[in-house]
Amino acid sequence: MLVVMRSMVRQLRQAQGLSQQALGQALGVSRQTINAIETERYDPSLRLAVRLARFFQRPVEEMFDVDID
Amino acid sequence: MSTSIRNRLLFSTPNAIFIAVLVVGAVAAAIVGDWFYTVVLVAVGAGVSIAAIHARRPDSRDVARVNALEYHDERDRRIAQLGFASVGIAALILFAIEFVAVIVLAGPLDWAPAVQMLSAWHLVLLCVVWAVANSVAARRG
Repeated sequence: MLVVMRSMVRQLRQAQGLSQQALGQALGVSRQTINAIETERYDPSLRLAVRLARFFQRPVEEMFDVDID
Repeated sequence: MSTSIRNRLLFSTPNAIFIAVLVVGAVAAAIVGDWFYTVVLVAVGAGVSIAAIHARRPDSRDVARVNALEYHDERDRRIAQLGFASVGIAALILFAIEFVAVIVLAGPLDWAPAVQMLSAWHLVLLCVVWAVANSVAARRG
């Protein structure tokens, strides 16, 4: 089973004019974690996904698109 | 421990224990008059402290944080879990090799029985730690 998760984090972050460092600081995670989520190298935990969604005031399922083949 | 309390501390809990052991060791070595190991333990303690403080800077690299046992977030902890899983497998294999090698070589090389006991304890202790760690991990889900 192949699971691919795409996120809207980069688009939403850039739309708000935030750096990866600033977003990481706001959420209590590192700049590298934000970068890894944006480049699809790391799938955030449900807790972090919800925090990201709340930060950008979007539903989680809109923030993260999961393809399961 | 809450994140806010953890952030106020100078070192992570494992580093605090590690540094405390080195300091106690240095004091013990000084008391018995072994100045060489006093200096070695102080130097290792200073090195660990500097690495930990360096890793806690806001612009530190993820690998630096994980190597220094100063995890900042869930991804650091995930990287550390994967890294330590490999360390655990390597340690089990290496201790098993050491145990077999000591059993085979102890007779011909006339090693003291304490060497065989030490080697056996390495393997037994590691297996006990492994079993406890698995049990704790399974309970936490």
